[in-house]
Amino acid sequence: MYASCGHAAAILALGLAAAGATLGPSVALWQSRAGLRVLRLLSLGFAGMMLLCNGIMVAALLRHDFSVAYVAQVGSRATPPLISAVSLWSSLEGSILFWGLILGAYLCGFTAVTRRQSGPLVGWAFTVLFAICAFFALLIVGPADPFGLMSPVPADGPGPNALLQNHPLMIIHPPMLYLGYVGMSVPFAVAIAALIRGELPAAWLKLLRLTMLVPWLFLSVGIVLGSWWAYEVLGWGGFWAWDPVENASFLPWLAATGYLHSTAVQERKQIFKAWTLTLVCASFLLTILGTFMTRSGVFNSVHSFTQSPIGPVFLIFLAVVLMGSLFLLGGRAHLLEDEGRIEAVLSKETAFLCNNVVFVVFIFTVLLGTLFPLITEALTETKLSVGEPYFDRMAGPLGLMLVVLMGVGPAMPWGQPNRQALMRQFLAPLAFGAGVSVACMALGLRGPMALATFGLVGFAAYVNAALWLGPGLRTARRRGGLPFAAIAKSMMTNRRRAGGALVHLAILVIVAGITGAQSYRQSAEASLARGESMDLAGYTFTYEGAVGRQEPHRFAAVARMRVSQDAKVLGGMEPRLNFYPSQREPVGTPHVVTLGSTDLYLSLLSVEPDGKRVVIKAYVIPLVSWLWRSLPLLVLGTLVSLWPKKEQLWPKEGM
Amino acid sequence: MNLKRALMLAALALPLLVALLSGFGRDPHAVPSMLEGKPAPPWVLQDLHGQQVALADGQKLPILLNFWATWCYPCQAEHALLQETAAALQGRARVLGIIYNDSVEAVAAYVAKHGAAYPQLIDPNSRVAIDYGVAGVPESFIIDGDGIIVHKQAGVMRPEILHRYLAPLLADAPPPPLEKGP
Amino acid sequence: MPKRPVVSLLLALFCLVAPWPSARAERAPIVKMDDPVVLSLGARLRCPVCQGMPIGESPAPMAQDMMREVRRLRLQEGQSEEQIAAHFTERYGTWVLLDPPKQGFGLVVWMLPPAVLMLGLGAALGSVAHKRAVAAAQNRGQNPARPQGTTPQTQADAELLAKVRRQAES
Repeated sequence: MYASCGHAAAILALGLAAAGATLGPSVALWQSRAGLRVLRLLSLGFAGMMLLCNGIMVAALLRHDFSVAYVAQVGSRATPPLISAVSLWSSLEGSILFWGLILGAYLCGFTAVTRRQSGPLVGWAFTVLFAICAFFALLIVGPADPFGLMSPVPADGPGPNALLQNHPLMIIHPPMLYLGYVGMSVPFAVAIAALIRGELPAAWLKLLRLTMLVPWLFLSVGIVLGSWWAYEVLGWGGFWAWDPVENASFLPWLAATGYLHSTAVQERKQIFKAWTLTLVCASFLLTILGTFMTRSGVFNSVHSFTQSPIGPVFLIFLAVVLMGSLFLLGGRAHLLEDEGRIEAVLSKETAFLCNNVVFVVFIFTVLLGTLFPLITEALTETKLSVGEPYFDRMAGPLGLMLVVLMGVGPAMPWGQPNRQALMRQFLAPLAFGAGVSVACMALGLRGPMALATFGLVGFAAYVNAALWLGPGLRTARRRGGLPFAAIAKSMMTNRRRAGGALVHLAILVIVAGITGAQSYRQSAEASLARGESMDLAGYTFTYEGAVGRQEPHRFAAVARMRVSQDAKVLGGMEPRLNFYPSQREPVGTPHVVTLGSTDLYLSLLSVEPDGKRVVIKAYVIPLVSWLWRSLPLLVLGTLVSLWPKKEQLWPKEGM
Repeated sequence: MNLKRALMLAALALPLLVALLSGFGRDPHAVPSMLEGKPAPPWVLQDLHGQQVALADGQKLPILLNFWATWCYPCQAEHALLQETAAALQGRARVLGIIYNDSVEAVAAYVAKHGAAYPQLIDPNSRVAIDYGVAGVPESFIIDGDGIIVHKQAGVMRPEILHRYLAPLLADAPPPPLEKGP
Repeated sequence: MPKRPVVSLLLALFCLVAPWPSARAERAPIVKMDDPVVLSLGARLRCPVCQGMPIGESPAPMAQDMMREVRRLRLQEGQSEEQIAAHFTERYGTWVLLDPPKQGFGLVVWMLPPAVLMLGLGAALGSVAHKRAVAAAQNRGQNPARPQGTTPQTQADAELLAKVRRQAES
């Protein structure tokens, strides 16, 4: 009964979205305020229906109602309730349902943010948004229907994938990613509305930036959390493998980040319009492409679901959106003529231009590498792989260029700079960066690439820290008073600059973390009997014994390890192997301990039945914890940027 | 509205879409078959009773070589067909099973229950499996009398495959039709 | 830009957060030291039954068996890295190497990104320089007294100017 309610709600949602998409153009063309009110009601209705569908599904999962097809697919009586609820997004059909829920939420958000506006731009934006909503509702009603009825009703289900039950991060990483992906629809709709109307007023541009910052934040957090999850769960001390699905999340992030930089220039100097709008469209298109890659079954990936009827439907949607966007971008070129110009080769604008180029090349490189096996097979009938080493090799220099630009960009002045002033501007940061490299060398670190990276990170960090703290410190020095208060006030006065500087600092922390983790990690594998130890990087790991623990949904074999350094005992670690009834191979849970900035990481590879011997793989990885520690800074920086000012962002009249 | 530029730009999307479209119907996990037409790598392995068995035993009979494991459901499904084939082609072809990533005890128990019409060979460290480019089970190789691999079958063995590739290799008078499996 | 307070603040931050990664790494012996060729192949060869993982990192039995085979070919038969790589590609195809081949069609994926980067940066910087040269020539021809570097006043610029004035006066 509940299943049919859910299905009915989905059909209703489809109807509402289709109505909105059909009504939208007339509302836009006739600029009808009443029509806009109807659209807003329709959006609330759509969101309500999606909430209902998802609520019904979660209730069915918690009740272990195996008459519902999706529950029979991923549920199981042995699974704890929290994991049952969370398996809403663990498999394909449920994830599309979840997508619909978030789409409804963003639709409501857009309605709220534009509630005092009227005018054709809003109408067109609603049209595009409703069309996207209609597509996903269509998927839920049709090819990806989770509400099918099972007959006969099975007594129990297989439970969600074992890997998904191992770690609390699995609860938060997918929702964060979805909030990022789905949210890209909104700036896309805003941009398409501008292209259709052929105008991009300043207030609409501000709305575009605002609606992009929110999903960007969630996507960034989602990607970092995903890396953290991979690191803690998968057992080989790695956090990013350039798997097609990881790339599917990284590509829209690159486009969105590129856009955020490009728009800073557009708002100031009226240039880069083509770049900006193209990057917004690209971020949505890459989201859809990424979803296609994960759900079509066409790509060989850790995450990919099996081939399903959803693949061809997604490809059609992608084709329509891609060709439509290109058509509009090409045809509305007159809108994209720059009103300003770049004044000098050595200027902030040029730095931003190089930034745009590097971001686009980065997107191209990752996309090419991800699609290349497919292209090769289509053209030459041979199969080849494009794996992690290739991407690391290509992304390294590009990432390094972005680090340099993160330092050069903010420090460069707009327009045409005075050469003397320019050199003085860069002297301190360059000296600091060089100092960082020398300090690292003095500590015994080697490797020119890593040392150079640390130096450049230091250079960019100096520039951004100065940007963040400089104005406040200057004011405090001039007037007296507490520097802290002055800094806080200066941050609130120029939020974009302070927020941007903080976000840059967070990214630099991530870059430093990646460099430390990749360049200076050490690992060793050993087979140990009780009492035997292995040494790595000054730490000693001793195997004390194994213990078995029976849990409701799995059996865990835990290896007790003692960790010491210079004969002083630091503590214990317990890597484990989890045996699930539905899987042949056990799934390992490594134990990770962070000491200062270095991580100790133990994986239990195998254990003899009586616990006499174990095979342990140990890793000592410096700086990797910086990747996740950067998150608060990243969130803070974005929130500072986003924080609304007391004065209104746009005039009350329509546009 | 610059129609010409709009259409040109939209057309740029076509190569990408065609490339993605071509991915349908292909299995991204399928491993290409490299050894067809090449000589089968030689090996000497021990069977469950400790006897030495070699690939080439001097008789130049065609061989059906099957890599399998007890934990693999498709392998269990095809076991009956392989048993029948071994019995039917006694003296005219050799059917050999190589155990992949499984314990000897499990295999011994399985064949005790389901029949041991042909030798089961133990492959330590999967050396022979790697030599043959095996990427999963079940995989079967049909080898002719001169030791050349005629066909590699990844997945469950079916009577049609045997009919198509193994039957023509049999030396004497047209063989009795292979019985279809249950 | 005040250098001293910022520098000292940064140094303080750096000292607080700094990793001081262990330079003592060289001291302790590592238990299982693999031949560098074996390690390199462990990172280059793809596990056929896993999803894109190198055999050196995968816990799957097949990957472990392949690593043993690599060790055997290296340590017992003395084969070189390329010989062992060829051994595997003969049996599994080019696909078993994580890197695309640096010949034939594979060259495309190696050459295209650096080429696009250089072309992109070159085109961008070149167009800026070109536009500057053209503008400079025009300026010299038209109005020598007109100051360079003026952008047409737009609404946004006017707002910004007002804001800057307010900040300077605050």
